[in-house]
Amino acid sequence: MTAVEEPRTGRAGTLRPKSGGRGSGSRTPSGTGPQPVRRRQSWWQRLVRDRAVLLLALPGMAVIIVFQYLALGGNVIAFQDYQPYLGIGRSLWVGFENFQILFSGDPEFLSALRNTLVITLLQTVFVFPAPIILALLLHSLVSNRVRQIVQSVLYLPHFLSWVIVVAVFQQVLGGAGLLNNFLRSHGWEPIDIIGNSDAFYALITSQVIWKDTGWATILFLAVLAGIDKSLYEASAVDGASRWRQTWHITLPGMRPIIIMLLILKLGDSLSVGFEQLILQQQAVGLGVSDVLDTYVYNQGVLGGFWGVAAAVGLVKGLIGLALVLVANKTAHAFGEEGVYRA
Amino acid sequence: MNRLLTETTISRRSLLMGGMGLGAFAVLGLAGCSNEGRGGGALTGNATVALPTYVPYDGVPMDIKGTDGVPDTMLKYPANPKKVTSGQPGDGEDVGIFGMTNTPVPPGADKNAYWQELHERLGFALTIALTPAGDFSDRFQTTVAGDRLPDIFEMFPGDVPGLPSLLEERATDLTEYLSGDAVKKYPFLANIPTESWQSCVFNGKIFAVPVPRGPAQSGVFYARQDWFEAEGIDPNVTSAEEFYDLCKELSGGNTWALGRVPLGHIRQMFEIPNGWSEDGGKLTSANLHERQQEALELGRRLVADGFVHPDGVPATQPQRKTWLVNGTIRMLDDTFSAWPDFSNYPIDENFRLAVAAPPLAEGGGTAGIHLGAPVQNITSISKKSAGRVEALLDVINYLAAPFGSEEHLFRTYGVEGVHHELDGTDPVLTDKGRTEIQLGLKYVVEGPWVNFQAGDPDVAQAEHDAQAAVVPTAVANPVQGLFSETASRKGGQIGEKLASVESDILAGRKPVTAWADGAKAWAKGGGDKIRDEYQTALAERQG
Repeated sequence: MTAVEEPRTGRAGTLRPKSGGRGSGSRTPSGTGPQPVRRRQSWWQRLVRDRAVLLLALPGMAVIIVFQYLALGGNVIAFQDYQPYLGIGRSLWVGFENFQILFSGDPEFLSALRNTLVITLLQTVFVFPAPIILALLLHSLVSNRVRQIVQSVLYLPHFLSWVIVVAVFQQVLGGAGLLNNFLRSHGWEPIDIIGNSDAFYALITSQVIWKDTGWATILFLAVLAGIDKSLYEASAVDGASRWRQTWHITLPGMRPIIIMLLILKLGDSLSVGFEQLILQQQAVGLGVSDVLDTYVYNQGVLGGFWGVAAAVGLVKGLIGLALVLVANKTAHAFGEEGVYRA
Repeated sequence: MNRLLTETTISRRSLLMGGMGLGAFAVLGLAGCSNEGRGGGALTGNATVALPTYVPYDGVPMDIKGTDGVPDTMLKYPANPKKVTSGQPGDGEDVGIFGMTNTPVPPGADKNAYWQELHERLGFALTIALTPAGDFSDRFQTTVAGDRLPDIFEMFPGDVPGLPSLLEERATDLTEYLSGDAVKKYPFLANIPTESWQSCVFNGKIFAVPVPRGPAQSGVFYARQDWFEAEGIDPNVTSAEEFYDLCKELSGGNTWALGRVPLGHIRQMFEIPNGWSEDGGKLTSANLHERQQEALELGRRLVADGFVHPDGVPATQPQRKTWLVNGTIRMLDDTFSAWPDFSNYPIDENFRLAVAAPPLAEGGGTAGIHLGAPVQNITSISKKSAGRVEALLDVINYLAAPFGSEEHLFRTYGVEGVHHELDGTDPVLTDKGRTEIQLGLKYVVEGPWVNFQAGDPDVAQAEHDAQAAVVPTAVANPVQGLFSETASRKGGQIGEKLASVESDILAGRKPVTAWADGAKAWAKGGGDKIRDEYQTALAERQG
C-alpha cells in the first residue's frame, strides 16, 4: 500500500514522461535534461537530513521487524520434527525430510496444489479486472453526489468479516435459504448452490467480487482523478469518442498501477483466501476446496504435523517471492516502473 | 470447524481415529520413550499405578438409583442443600483456567454478579480463558506452542497428537496426590467412578482429573414426541427400510425429517461395532466392517431424496437443535447429556423428546446403541504450577462438589433471586443466570452424571426411562482404556481422510464403494498398526 501513495503514481497520468532515462541504472539522478551534477551525500549526511522522517518511520519499522522479520525465524520448524510442547529449542532436527511431501506425490498435497492454482487463475481472470471496470464506470458517473453514495455502498462489504459474508450467502443461497425456501413454497425445484461442489468456484469467486471489488476501486479512482483533464479536452477536439478516450488516455494512465498491483498479486497468488475457504470446506468436501493454506492448517495445527506444514508454507512463500522478483524484472524490461527499482 | 459440536458429541474424527472416542488412553503407557516426540515407544508391562480409590458420596439420596450402568436420576432438587466444604479452597492466590464452553461467552468479571460472588466464595480471583468446544483443540495446540497454558487446563485427550509426551512436558504428575487412598483427601474427586480415571493415566502416571460421562455421553436418536403424538405417527420403526419410509413421510416443503445424517444411529441398525470388535483377543476395526457400505448407502439415499436439511452439513449442532425446536426438522441425533440443554432453547410448554432405539436393519428386534466414552474431557495442572499442586487440587475438588450440595447449587444455578428462582425446591435459571453462569466450570471437573431438569421432573423421568431401555444392552468399545501410540500420533490424520471420504459419499460426490478403498487406505496408513498396538495392550490387560 505504501508504494502506491508515493507521488510517482500521481505523475502516471502524464503518459510516461521520462521513460527514456530509466535504463541507465539507479546511480544517475533521475531527470531528463542536463542537470548540475550534485555531489552524492554521505550516509551520515543523509541520515541527519532525513532524521525527522526516519523518526516518524521508526515505530512502523519496529512493528515490521518484530512481527514480520523476527517471526520469519519460526520457519526453522520446517526443518524439524517440531513438537509444540518441546519448542524450537528441543525439537529434533530432520533437515529436508519434511520437504519430501512436495515430491512424493502425496495425493492430498497435489489436490491442494491443483485447487490453489485453479482458484488463483480464476481470481486473476475474474476478480482482478473487476475493480478496474467498476472504477471506470464510477468515474463516468457525472453526478458527484450519486457517485459518493454508490461508492459508500460498494465499500461496505469490505468491512464485513468472512464469517458474516459466508453466513449471508448461506442465508440467501443456502439449501434452506431465502431463495430456495421461496422456490419450494411455490412448488418449484430448489437450486443447489452452497453445498454443490460443481458450483463452488463460481460461488467463492462471486463472494470475493461482492466483498472486495468496491474497496479495491479506491486506488484506481485516485489514479483516474490524477489524469490530466486537458488530455480529454484535446482528444475531444480531435473528435475522439468516449471509447477511444478510454483506450488511449484512461487505460494508459492507469497502466503503471495496474502492473504494480498485478505484480503484488502474483506475490500472494498462492494464498487464495484461507478464512473464506475453511469456513465453507465442510459443505463441499476437501476434493475441491482444500488449498495450500488449509492444507497447512489441517496438517499442522490439527494433525500435529507441524514440520511438514511449515515446509509447505515456506515453499509457498518462496515461490511467491520468486514470482514478484521475476514479474518486477519483466516489468522493467518493458519499460514499466514495477513495484520498486533496486 | 464443527468437529465437536455439542457438549458431548464425540467428534467424528475421534471416532474414526481408531474408534477410541475421547478417552481411550489409559493404563498402559510407554516405558521406553524414544526421542521424546514422535518415536514409537515399546509398550511394556502394565501400569503399576493404582487408580484413585472410589468413595461414592452418599450425602444426598437419589430419587432413582441407576442400575446396569444407567446414571442416577433426581426428580427434584434437594431442599435446603448443605455446605459440604469448610473454609475457602486453595491458597488464596489467584488461579487461571484454560477451558472450553458450549454457550455464548458470559459477561466479564467486572459486569458479572455470578463471577463476583464466586470470587467472594473462593477468596481469590479466578481467570478463565474460554474457547468454544469446536475450536478448542486447535486453540489448545497453539496455546501449548506459545507456552501460555495457565495453572489449570482442559483438553480432549483424543484430539491431541502425542498427548503423553506433551503431558510429561507441561503437566504435573498427580499420582502421589490421587493414587489409591491418597485421593480421600479430596473427597469429591474420590466420588468420581474408577472407569473415568483410566482416561487420565498416561505413561503409568495420573496426569489429569476426569469430567466423567460414560453412558450419559452415548449417542442417541431424538424425536419430537409432542409432534409425533399430535400427528399420530410412531417414531419407533422396526427396520432400516421403515426408517427410510418414516423419513420420507416427515419431509416435504420447508421441513425435513433430519438435521443431518444420523450415521451413528444407522450404523447401529447394521450392527457395526462401536469402534472395534474383539474376538478371542483379536481386534477388528469397525471401519473395515462388511456392512459399512450398506449403512452409507442408506445415509446417501436420505440425503439424495431430500430428507435431510439441505444446510445440515455446514450447520453447527446448536443450529440443528434450533431446527428441532422450531419444527424445521423432526428428529436429531445427539447424546443423552444434550437432553437438558434443550431447556436453553425457546421451547414451548408442550416440547417433549423421546429416544428412538435403533431397529435391526432387517427387522426382528432392536440393536444395541454405542456406549459413550467414559469422559467428556480431562483437566491437568500445569508443570509451572507444580509448587501449588495441592492448593489447586483443593480448588478442583471444591468445583467437583456433588449434586445436591450448597456448593453445587451455587456453581450450577448461582444465587437465588438473582440467577435462579425456586420452583418448589427446583432452581430454575433466570435470563440473568443463563448468561452470567456460563463460565464453563462443569468442564473443569464434575461429579458423576445425574439426570435432572430444574422445574420439569418429567424430563428427568423420560431421560431415565430412555436410558433404562437402551443403556443395559449398549455396545462398549473394547479398546476403551487402552493406549496406542500410533492412534495418538496418526489417528487424527488418517481418520480425517476417511471422514472426508464419508462426507463425499453421503453428499453423493463419490460412490458408496469408495468407502472400501478409503478404509483400506486407512488400514495401510496406520490403522493396522493401531490394531496391533491395541491388541498387545489388550493382551497385557487381560493377562
